[in-house]
Amino acid sequence: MTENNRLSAKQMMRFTFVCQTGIGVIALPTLLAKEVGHDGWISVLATGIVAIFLSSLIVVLLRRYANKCIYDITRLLFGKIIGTIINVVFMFYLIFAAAGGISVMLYYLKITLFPNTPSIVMGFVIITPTIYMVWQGMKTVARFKLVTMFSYLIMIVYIVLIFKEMRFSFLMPIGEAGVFPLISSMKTSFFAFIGLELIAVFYSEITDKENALKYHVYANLLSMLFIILTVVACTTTFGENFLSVLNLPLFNLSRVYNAPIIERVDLYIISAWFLAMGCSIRAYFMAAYYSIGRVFRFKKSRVVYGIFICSIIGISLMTGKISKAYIMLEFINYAGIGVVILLLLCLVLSMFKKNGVVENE
Amino acid sequence: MFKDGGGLINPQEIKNRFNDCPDIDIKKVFVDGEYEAFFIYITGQIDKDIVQRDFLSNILEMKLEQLSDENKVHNIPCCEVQLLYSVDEAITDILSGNTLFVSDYLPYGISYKNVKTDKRNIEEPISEKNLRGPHEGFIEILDTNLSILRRRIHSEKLKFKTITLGTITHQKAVIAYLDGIANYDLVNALYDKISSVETDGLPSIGHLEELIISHPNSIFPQFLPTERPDKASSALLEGKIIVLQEGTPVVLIAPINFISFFQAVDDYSKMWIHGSFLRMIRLLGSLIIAVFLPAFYIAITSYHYYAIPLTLLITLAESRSKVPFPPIIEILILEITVELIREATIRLPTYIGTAISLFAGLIIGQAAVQAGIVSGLVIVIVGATAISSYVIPSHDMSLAIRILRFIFILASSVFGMIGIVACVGFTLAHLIRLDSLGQPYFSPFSPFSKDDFKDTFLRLPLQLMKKRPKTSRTQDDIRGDNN
Repeated sequence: MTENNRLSAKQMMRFTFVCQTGIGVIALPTLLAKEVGHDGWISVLATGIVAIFLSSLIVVLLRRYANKCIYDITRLLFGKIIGTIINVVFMFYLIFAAAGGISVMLYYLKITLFPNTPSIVMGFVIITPTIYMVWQGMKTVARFKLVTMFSYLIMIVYIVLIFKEMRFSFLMPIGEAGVFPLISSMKTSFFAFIGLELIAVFYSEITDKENALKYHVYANLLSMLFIILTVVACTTTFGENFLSVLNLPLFNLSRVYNAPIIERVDLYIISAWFLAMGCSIRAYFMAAYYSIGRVFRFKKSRVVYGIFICSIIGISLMTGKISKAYIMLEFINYAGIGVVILLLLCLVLSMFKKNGVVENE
Repeated sequence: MFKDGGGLINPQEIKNRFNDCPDIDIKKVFVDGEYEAFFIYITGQIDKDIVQRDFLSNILEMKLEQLSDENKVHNIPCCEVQLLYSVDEAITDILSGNTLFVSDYLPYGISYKNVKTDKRNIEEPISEKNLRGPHEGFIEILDTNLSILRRRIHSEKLKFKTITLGTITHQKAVIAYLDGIANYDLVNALYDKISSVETDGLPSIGHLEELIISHPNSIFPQFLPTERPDKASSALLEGKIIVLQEGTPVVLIAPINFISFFQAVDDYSKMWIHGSFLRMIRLLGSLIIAVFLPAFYIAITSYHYYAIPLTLLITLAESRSKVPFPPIIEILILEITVELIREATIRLPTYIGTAISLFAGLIIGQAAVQAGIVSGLVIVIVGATAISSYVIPSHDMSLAIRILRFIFILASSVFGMIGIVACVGFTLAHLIRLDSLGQPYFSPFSPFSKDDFKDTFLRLPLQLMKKRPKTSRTQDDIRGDNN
């Protein structure tokens, strides 16, 4: 724990929000259109409520251990050996999540702006700010999230601009997909909320822990509202049939508005959104590097950091084709659900095994 | 009294130390007509008439017994008389421009301070002109600069901490702050930083700045230099700290944030709407045009030509068809030429500089287009960029923006818009990481501060800015007596 890694609960809120929405929201409207047609927003709403509930439980678990993060808690609950094994698995999950994010981002770049540039070159370009920030510590990474809000502001303003292109009759009749398909689609929607577990990694660094629960709920609430907004905007603009054949609906949405003089507004919207996507990846990048330090208990080291960067880029390039990148991302999403289940299991176990639990918390 | 000689300060040792120093004058006298004594001073640094009238004549009227009595020495009717007890002290005192009376028969040396220095007039700094504010600037003499500040702030709360720097030059540096407003931790931290500087001498305040800032490898300045007393006193009232150094008219203000470099004195000496308008023009010019415009041109013409309106695309294609170079070379040729002209005009005397500007204007204008080296649109872009980088009130920040522009140009030439986005990300990350005297440099943007935000893109009415900036971490947050 160093001064450069400290962050406030409010910063953690922005960290979680950007982590959840930066990449997750780009393809989600299409995935939901395939599963539940025009009722995707209902799926997001229901999943958002569940995510808020689960987030609250995670913070409740962390509060029981006052100043400890998940890596300390697992050692207390499962013992040193099993705890360390769980921590290593968790750490690899974060490393693969960061690498998977980069793979997908490279693919998005390839199909939107740079079809001919080699992935390895582009990979280094998009990762350079991340390498710099993560080395500086959590404080810099968290403060940068505030700057990223500019990308969200642009997106919201843009959605307002295309309001007249939307046909809300595309959302009717509400609930047509039926209850079971909607429940089934919540798994897909939940992938967009993956990132809510990261508070467990950084909890010990939060300076105002008394506000952690409140702001973590806000983070998931904001994510839910933003995702609903984009799903509704995409569905009402394209209609469920056309939406279900689009690759990157959020970027397709940016081509709808016919701006005078600027001609192609999508170039600027997509460019601005790459800042948010970078932040989303950076959240896992930061969590993974921080976790290596916590699990193996070593201090900041240039050599380890260099190996870490090369590994992440190597894994992200391994996927090669987009189909493999999507498989990897799906695997990571399932692992994310597994992590949330692990955290809930820890909460239940902490009721019985009270070693390290602070009672008055 | 040492009638047999052997006083604490040996005049012969001082004479030996000043061997081959013809500017040091050593005048021999006899006290009571028999005891050898000396007046030692730097010829060019004293007012001889006043020293003779107030010091020499009074000393020579006294007996050795009276001169050996400290109380009687202090009664000599001159402003500043001091007693010294070692040769090193005596040497430092003489080199400071004081007149020293010393004898083997006295237990101490008697120093008289009456330094006459040649100084230039107090004038408006040429690099920081303004329309409605005062037209005075600091000068090279430290004492004068301190008195200028004192004249502006009639309060005993204005404090000065003095530090002697340079193992050879023995220059004075002063930290000025307002007691009860400035944060003592910051004052002490700055004092410790400056005290720990180990060097032979500091030719300019830039040397000191580089030695005390936290991030010397950054392109962004972390202390705000100014020659304007109004800016310095206004910073003091905001709880900031000023560093003054002997021999330079430039003072440093700390802690500051990024936006401080875009705030001009005139913003506050006009109505708030006028000030806000100027601020927005300045930020638009310096940040949007000066940094992005050439990079944007390269990205659009090299990679994203579909983003150009059709009517402009035809004109641009016609213009570019006569140019054999790719956009990056075209821009670099002109940008480097403009930088060369800028450097040349700063170094040259005004009358030659004007001629060079005219000549250069012709070269980079019509002639370059006719020769087919650059297209007409590039002339407009580079011209607008050059003018925009002049609107930044701080020369240091203007330099940073110019360097940043070249980085953006290179990135956009290789990666188009994504190169620009990556550079924006990297620059913002760097700004967020920087600090000035431990305070976040990119505040009030990140970390966000609602109160400080009122003086960023806009300069809101003074009634709404009752609080002192958070960057200063002041002891007293509220301006005026209402707290």
